[in-house]
Amino acid sequence: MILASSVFDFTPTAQDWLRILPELIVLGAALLVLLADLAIPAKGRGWLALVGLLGVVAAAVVTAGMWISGDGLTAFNGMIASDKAALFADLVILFAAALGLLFSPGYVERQGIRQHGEYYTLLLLAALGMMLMASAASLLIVFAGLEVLSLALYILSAFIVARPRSQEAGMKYFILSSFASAFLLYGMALTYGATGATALTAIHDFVARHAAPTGDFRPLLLAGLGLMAVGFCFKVSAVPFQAWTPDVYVGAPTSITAFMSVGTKVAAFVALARVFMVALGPVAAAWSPVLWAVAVLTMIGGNLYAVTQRDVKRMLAYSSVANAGYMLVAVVTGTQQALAALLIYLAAYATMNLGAFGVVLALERSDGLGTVLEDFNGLARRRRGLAAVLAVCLLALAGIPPTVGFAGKFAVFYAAIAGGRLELAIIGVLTSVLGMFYYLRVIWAMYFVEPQPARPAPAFVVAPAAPPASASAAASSSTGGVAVAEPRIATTVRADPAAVSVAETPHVVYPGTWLALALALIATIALGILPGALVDLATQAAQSLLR
Amino acid sequence: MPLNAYLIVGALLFTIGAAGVLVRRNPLVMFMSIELMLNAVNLSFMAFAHFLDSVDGWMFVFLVLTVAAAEVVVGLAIIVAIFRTRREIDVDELNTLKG
Amino acid sequence: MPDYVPVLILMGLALAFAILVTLVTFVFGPKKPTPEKLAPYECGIEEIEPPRQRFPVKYLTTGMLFIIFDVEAAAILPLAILMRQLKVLGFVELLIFAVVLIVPFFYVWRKGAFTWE
Repeated sequence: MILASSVFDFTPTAQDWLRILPELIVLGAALLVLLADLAIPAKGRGWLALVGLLGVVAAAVVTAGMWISGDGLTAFNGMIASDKAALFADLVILFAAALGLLFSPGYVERQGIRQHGEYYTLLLLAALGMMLMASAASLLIVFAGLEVLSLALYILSAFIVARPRSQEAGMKYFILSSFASAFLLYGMALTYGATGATALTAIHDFVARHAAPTGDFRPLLLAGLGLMAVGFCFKVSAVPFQAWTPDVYVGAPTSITAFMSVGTKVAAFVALARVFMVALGPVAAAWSPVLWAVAVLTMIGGNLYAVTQRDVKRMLAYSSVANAGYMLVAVVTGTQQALAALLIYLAAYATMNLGAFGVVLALERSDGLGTVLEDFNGLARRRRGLAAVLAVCLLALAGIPPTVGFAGKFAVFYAAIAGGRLELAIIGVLTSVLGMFYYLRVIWAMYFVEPQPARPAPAFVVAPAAPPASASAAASSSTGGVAVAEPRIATTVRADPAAVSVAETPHVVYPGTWLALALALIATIALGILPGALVDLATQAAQSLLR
Repeated sequence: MPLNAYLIVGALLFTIGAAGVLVRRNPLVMFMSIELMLNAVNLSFMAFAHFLDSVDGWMFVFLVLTVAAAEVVVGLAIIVAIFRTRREIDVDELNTLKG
Repeated sequence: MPDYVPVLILMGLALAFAILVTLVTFVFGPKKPTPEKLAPYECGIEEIEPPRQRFPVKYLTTGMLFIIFDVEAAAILPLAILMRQLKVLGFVELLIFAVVLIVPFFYVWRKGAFTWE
């Protein structure tokens, strides 16, 4: 138990500040972008992404430096960890943030977002919250980081204010996520009451000393565990707490979806690993059955839902639910090897998911539509580059061998078998096979299905002499108000004459987007062919966390 | 007063808040219910901090208060933004996304 | 505690006076009720429009900005109590906190959120 006096004895040193340097750099970049937004005239605000990107790269360089030479100790009286697990998570989050920033300028412009300063600032602040949450060594910082990232993402989800889908995404995310935050917080309160500490090491020591199921604290601790599990499962969008995920992922701007689907998962899963696998490891018997059931439900439910989707963006949202299930398998297994596998899977998921969402983002029209499966028919002929990137990323998500997705799945299922969770590995493999169906269906559509000429013009066939002015006028009329074509995301879009009128000429894919897609593609293939480096880093990170 | 009294009040408030979020359909009221849940947690933290003689709980309460304020602002901002494009707000009308 | 005795006496006197005046008028005052007098607003004028109106969104914006700066500024209090113990780095901490608060303040100001129209 930490007494009042011991806390107030603490004085921060310069070392404390150095251990959170990556976070400070990201914070500085966010504030700089906010100030630059005031100074730069409206036309040049796309460059704000570059300012943010420089900050993110600088933070990544510092993080890499800390990996090599850092002391790995905690900062600020055991509040924030700078161990290798935190640095590993920071790197993945910064990678996601960098790609999110690269995706943004072109997409933001096409969707008619004018508040660039706010957009990039909030994106960087969300990244800051994710890094903070992943480096938390105390329940206090887990909550603080979670809220910093959530508050920024609520606003970003609703960022295309004129579009009902985006409004809906923001509102749903806000209410459901703060609801879940309250559960997580109540769980933390009860855990604090049972163990008398909020520092994770202190909780671990208390639980290890009192592992025998006796004493008054036991019911409190169990209730706290359960509530925290509910909160975390919600945040990582595990079944049965996944209901918000598809709506938010579809309604939010796609650049944000790409970033948050990866960043939130990394942050939440590393925090989950810290709290459950490490701090509450000695009472694993109390929580692992619950998470076992959630993992099984998530793997089965996520894949089944995904199979039924016609919209590729929505399918990817459910795919992220299914992937949360595979990650939970690693958490339930609970060994050091499983923790390394979890980190490998998170890195793999980051590269392939960012690539897949990036292609969807590049194809999306200015009214936010154009991502239905039919829109991908014959894409390989019209957009060879985009189709190739999407194909590789979907193969990776399906877990086909020479990609990083296979490395991730292999690591998780191998660790599960080695850790005595054979049944989870079997369910995981079977549901992965089911998952292949809906990933490969998109690839099939892109390469082997002819775009049907009988239907009204598909989105990216060059419309006969459509002048840019009329295209943009149609686009602005559709984004300006509650347009007729707006609410439809189902397959009926094509039959609607209003939808045909907003069909645009193929828009330019911006250089930044291409760069981001290339990065994701290279990472997906290179880490798949040579997973040794990734496995090595993840193992070191796992050793720093779980001994 | 015994610790349990505080905890029971906290649990009751939390339950009322949770029920409010689930039952009510006006976002402002749902929002107030969430605030009630957060304050129920604060009560529990205060009670634990007092009985355990530890400052961690107080720190948590401080953080939760500031976070709750930030949540109020963000929530209201989203509601205002929606309100500017349509007249009434009822979460049942936010039903564009399905599937 | 003795410092507060005069305050308590004053409060007691004020309360007693208020009760006394109310009682005196209640007992000795003439009572001729009419429907207008019993109405909530007894100025006698029919309401032109329902009093329950939507208040302008502008008010909400100001309120939101107030809450955020108000509550966040409260976080300085614990730091102020420990200022002497935390020495220079505590001051640096305070500066960082202030910068994080002042930059958005400046931003909001320049964006014109403080002007009413």
